[in-house]
Amino acid sequence: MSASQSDVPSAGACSACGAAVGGSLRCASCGALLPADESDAFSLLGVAPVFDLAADDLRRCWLARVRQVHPDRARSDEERMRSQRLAALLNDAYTALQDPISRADRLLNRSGGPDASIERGMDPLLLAESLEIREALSEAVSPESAATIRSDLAARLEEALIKVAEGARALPGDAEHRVALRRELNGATLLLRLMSQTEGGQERDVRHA
Amino acid sequence: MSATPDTIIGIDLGTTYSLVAVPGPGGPRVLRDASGDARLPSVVTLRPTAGAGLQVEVGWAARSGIVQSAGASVHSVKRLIGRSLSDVQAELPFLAYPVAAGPRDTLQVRLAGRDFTPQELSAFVLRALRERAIAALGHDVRRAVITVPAYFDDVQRQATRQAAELAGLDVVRIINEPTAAALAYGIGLRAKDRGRPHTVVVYDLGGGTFDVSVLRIDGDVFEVLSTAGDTHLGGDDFDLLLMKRLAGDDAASLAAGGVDAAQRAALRQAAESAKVRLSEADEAEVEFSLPGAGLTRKRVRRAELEALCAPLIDRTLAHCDAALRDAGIVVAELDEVVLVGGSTRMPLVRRRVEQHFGRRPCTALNPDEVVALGAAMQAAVLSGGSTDLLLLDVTPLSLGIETMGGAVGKLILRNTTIPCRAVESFTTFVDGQTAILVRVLQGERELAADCRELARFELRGIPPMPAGIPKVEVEFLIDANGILNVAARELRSGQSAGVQVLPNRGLTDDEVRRAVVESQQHAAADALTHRLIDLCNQVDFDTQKAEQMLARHGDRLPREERARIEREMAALRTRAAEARRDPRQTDADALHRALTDFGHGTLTLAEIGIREALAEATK
Repeated sequence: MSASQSDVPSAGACSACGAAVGGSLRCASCGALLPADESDAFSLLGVAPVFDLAADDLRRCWLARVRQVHPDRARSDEERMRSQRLAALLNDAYTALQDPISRADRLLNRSGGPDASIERGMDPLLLAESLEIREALSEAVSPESAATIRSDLAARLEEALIKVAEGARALPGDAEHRVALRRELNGATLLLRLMSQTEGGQERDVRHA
Repeated sequence: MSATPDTIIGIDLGTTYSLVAVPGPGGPRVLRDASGDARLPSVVTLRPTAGAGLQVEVGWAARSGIVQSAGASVHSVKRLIGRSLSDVQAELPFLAYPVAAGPRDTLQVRLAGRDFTPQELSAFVLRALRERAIAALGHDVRRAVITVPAYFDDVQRQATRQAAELAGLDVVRIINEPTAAALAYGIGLRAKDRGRPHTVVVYDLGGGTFDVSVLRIDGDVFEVLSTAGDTHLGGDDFDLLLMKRLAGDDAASLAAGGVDAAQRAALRQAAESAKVRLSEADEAEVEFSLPGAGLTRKRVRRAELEALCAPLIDRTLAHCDAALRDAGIVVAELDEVVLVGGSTRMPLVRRRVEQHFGRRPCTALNPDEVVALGAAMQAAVLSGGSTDLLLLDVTPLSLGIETMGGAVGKLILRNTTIPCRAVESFTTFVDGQTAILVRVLQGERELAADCRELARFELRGIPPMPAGIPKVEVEFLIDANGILNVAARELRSGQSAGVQVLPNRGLTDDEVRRAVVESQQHAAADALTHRLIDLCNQVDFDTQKAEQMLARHGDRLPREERARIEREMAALRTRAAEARRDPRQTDADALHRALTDFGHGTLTLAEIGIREALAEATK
C-alpha cells in the first residue's frame, strides 16, 4: 500500500497525539465530547489532509481518537449514543484513509473536485478494453487463462494507482486537473471491480458512503 | 475486601457450563461452588408445585437428575436462543425435551405444563450465577458483562440480553467469547514481550459453538482483525454423532422420535461421558437401554470417536483459514494459537490444530474458565477500574438490505471494526405512501432468501407526497455490543424525528417485560432458598480455607487472634447448618453479614497465606 511511502510530510503533526491537528475530540479539562466535522475523514482522525500518510502514523492517530471517544468510557446513556456514533465515524474514516483510492477520493472532494456521481467519465480506451476483459473472463475456462487476465489486470491497476497518486499529490490544482483526477479514479475503481470478479465471484460491494 | 456496591460481574453463559467472575484488586477471579468447581452446568429442571409455583433446580443437581427428570429438564438452551424452529429442526429428535414454534418465528420449550422461551430458561441459569456473585461479594449485583459466541448474529445477541434482563441483570456490555479469552491471555503476553505487537489466533470450541478470531495485541490495544465460526458446531455435535453410533440399528428410530425422552437423555449422557473419558483413555465402556433391547453394554475406542469427529474438525479448520484470509495474515506471521472451550481437551483437536498451524497451541489457562475471566476484565474497564485497556472488535457477518428482486445490497461488510455505521436512502413508489418496509439481512450470501432476516422495519409516519419525492434517510449503526440500532428521518419535509422504526421479529420489549413479571412471581420464593444454598456453600468454602490456613500458618498469629478465629469459624458453621435445616426461618441478610465479617476477621491470616504462597512461587 502506498501509505507506507517514506516521504511523509505532516502526519507527524499528530504523533504527539494529544495535540493532534484539529484538536481533540474530548475536552481535556471537563471530559465532554466536542463537536467534530463529521464529513471530513482527515480532521476526524486528526491527520494532515495529504495523500502520503504513513500507515503507522495513521493507525496511531486512529487509536488515539478511538480511545478518546470509545463508548466504554461514556458516563451517561446520552453520551454513550454520541460516542457510539463518533466511534463509528472514526472507524469508517480510518478504513477509508487506509485505501489509496478512497483516500484520493476524499482528498479530491475536499479540494472541491467533482463527485463520482457528477463526473462519471473515464479514459475511453480503458472503457472499451474493460468490455473485452469482461468477455474474456466469462470465457476463461482454464485456471491458466484466468491467471493471465488477473496478472494483466494487476499491472494495469498498479499503473492506474501511480497516476491517481500523482494527481492527488498535485491537489488542489485547477478545475481541469480535478476532473482529470476524478476520471483516473473512476478507471481505477473499474479495474478494482474487474479484479474482484476474477476472485471467484466474491465481489466486494462498494461501500456506501 | 473491596465491597464496592456497584460491582459489574463477568458472565460466560455457555452451552454446557456457565461461569461467573468478578473483578478484584489483584485481577479477576472466577467464583466457585463449595467443592471448588467454577462451572455451573447450564441445565434447568422445572417441576410444578402446589399452587401455581414452580420448583426450579439449576446446575449440578439438575444435571445429575437429568435422566430421572427427563421431560422436565432442559440443557443446551444456548443452541435455541434467538433461533427459529426451522433453524434447529435437525437436532430436535435428540433433545430430551419438546420444542415448538412460538410467535413471530421464535421457539418455545414446553416444561412443567407451561411454555418457556429460551430467554426465560437461560434466565434461570443467569439468576443462579447472579446469586453466586451476590453471596460472594456481599452486596446486590445489578450489572454484568456477558459473553456470546463471536459468530452470534444480532437476534441471538438481543435474546441473550433479554435473558439477562429477566434475571435482573442490566447488560452493560456484550463481548465475544474469543475476544474475552484473548483479554485473559493478553495480560500474560504483554508481560512477556512488551512493545511488540502480537498476532494471535483464538480457537474456541465449546459445547455448542465454534469461533475463531484473529487478533492483534499491541500493548493495551486488543484489536480483532477477523472472526469466523459456526453457532451450531461443538461438543454437543460430537455427542450426537456418538449417540447415533451407539444406537446402531436403532439410530433411525432415534432420529424419528421413536425413543422416549428418558432413554434419549440416558443415551446422551452415556455418549458425553464416554467422550470425556476418551480424552484420557484409549477405550471406554458405556451402558444404556433402548426400547425392546434392554440394557446394552458397548465399548468405544478413541480412534472410533476420532473418525466420527474428524469431519467436524475439518470444518473448524476451514473457518480458521477463512478468518486468516479476511485478516490478511498468513500462518507464518502468527505469534500464538490459543485454545479455549472444553471441547479443546480432545486430543484429536489439539493434534489437528497443532498440525494446521505448525506450532504447539497455548493451553496455559483453564479452557473452561478463561472466557469468564476475560469478561470480568472488561467489567473492570467499564467500572472505571482499569482504563488503559482498549477493546476493538468486529461484526462477524455482513449487514445488508433486500433490494429489488430479492437480492442483497450490502451496507456493512463482515469483519468491519465496531461500532460502525452505514446510511441508506429510501423513497416511496406510490403517491401518498406513508410507510416503507425495509428488510434487514445478515449473512454472506447474495440472495435475501439465503441470509438471516434480522428485522423487517416499517418506516412509518412519512408525510404524504408524490411517489419518489420523500427521501427517508436510514442510519444503521452496529454498536460496540454487535447489536444493530436503526434510526430514520425524512429529509424533504424536515420532519427529522418523524419516522418511526417498528421491528417485527423476535420478542417485543412488551413480551419480555411481561415475562419478567411472570418469572419474578415464580422465582421470588425459589430465589430465597437459592441464595441461602449459595451462602451456605460459601460458608463451607471460606471456613474450610481458613481452617487450612490456620493449620499451616496459625503459629504466626497471636494466640488470642487464633482462638477468636476458631470461635467465629465454629459459630458461622453452626449458623449455616441451621440455615440448611430450616431455610424459611433464616435471615439470609444476617448470614450474609456474618460471612462478610468473618472474611474481614481473617484478613491478616489471608495476607500471611498470600505472602507465603508468593514466596514459595518465586523461590
